[in-house]
Amino acid sequence: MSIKRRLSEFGSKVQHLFKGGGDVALEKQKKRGKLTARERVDEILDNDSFLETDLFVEHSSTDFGMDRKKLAGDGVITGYGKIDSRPVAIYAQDFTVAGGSLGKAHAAKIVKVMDGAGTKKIPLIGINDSGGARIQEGVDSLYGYGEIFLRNTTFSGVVPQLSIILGPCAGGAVYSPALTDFVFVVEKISNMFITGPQVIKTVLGEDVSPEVLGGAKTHTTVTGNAHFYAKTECEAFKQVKRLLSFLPANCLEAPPAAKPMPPVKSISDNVIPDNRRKAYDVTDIIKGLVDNSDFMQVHEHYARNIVVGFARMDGKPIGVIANQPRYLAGVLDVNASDKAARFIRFCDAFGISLLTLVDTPGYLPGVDQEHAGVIRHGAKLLYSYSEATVPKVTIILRKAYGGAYIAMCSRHLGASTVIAWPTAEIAVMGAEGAANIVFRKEINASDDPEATRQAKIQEYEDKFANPYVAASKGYVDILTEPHKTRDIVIKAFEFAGEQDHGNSFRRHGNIPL
Amino acid sequence: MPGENELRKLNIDETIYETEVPPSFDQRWSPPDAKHIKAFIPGTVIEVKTKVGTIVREGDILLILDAMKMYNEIVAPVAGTVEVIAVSAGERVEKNQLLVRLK
Repeated sequence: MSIKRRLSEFGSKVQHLFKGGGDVALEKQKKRGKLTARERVDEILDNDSFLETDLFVEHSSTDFGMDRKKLAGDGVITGYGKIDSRPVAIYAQDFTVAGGSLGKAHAAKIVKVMDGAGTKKIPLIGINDSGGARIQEGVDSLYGYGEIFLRNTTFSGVVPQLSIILGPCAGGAVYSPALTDFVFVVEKISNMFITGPQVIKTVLGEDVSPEVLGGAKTHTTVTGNAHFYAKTECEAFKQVKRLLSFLPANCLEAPPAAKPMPPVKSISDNVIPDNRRKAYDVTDIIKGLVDNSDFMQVHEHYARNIVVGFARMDGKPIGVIANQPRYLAGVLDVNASDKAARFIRFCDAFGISLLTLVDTPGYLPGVDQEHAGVIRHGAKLLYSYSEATVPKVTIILRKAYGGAYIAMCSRHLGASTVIAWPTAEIAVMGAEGAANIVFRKEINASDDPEATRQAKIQEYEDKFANPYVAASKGYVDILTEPHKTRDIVIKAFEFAGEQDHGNSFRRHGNIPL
Repeated sequence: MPGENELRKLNIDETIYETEVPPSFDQRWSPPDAKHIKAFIPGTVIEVKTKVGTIVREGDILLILDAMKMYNEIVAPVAGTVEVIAVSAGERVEKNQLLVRLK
């Protein structure tokens, strides 16, 4: 064969493979409002940075007529590329090729690029758009999933792993995204469930749409399985890029610093409402503290009583955890504890310092919470903060009561520095509850119990609803006004340093799950 | 995404806070009544194994419910007398539908 023919043969093979499932299938994909796998890779990566691997991989299954079926790239595009000039490993399942179904070769391609991410120590980005296991390949496809799950787990805490769900992701397949650090979903495009609507209808007679069962809104508001909600695929890609800008490529590298910037709007000293029962939006305070007021929330729409996300101070990335008085008065509950604990552990794994803002009245009372295991779930928050060795700075804005005070990165759980505002109330509980217990006898014996109760509440409040008792015992390191806080936090982080728990001999702790 | 809700009152340790609450906030828990035996899963009643007026002990089989490709034995969670049998063999039942009531 002449060189010329060889080259033209190669060219036409590549052209064919680039078409994935062919023109008709690609058209169908677009009609569903979805980009094609190749467009997605191009969209998310820097221009011309994609280095594709394994384009010519083919499956070797022979059952059910598979020997006569050629599947372009075996239904997945894999390789490496750059996002904002930083290397990443990437795979994108191609729904136009056999429904993006996962067989042995498909899985092997993903596994190869995962191993690449692990050895090169760069983030892994997975784009999921697949009907699930390739049934014709039987247990080989299950083997494939298992190999992926194993790597998701072994690389957890080594490199950041992001999953973008851009199509169906059902059955066992959902466990790969679930094992990764962050899951992105898009309205009307993403669907995740273990058992789909069809099966639920057949077996249980329950009628539910894929969107309600496991759509983007459901997973970002109800289940918490997904962290970021977007209206379009391109919006999701922008979120991915923004998130990566805060993250190091791996656990050995320092998080990427940027040019320090002042907040767009600084905090005024009367940011906390006069009435301590009044709500306010804690994100306003966060934006008043961090560089350029740039704060990227994680799990924005889930367990809104706690706010978590990434920002920068003095150019260095930090993870922020804050009670949100605007929602459920900022109580801790099952979902808030889970949300914060997972975020804290991510930050600790990747050397991202933690800034905690405290304004919480305590735990949400109720049978539902107790029966849902708020003891076990709440324990995760204590565990995560105690375990974290990154610099931990805590600011007590207002209420820090009882067990919730301890849980929110108190000095006692190993905070590097605890700062409190003059509005802080660090106490075993709110004045009303405490007065009713401490002064019960006096109140009951009084001629005017209500007047006595009010007097006793005032007495308790005057004595304990402040930061001075805690500060006098050294539980608070620094008292300051809101407008000076940013500078103090920056200094506190600067002086904090990595902690050493002296237990590196242990295999691992046993976080309550 | 969820919009700004109105502010409600939330009592934590006898302090009343003004705050947003989730839609589920007003669905308060109520104790289940063990004597109302309901379908824990939708399915089809295969066989009723008891009669009205029968005195049953805890654990006695009341009926067989076919669901999830399994014949599930529905047993009396407490001792009592069968007061009502709300379904018959062959009947399709929804989740949480009353099957048997004890007295």
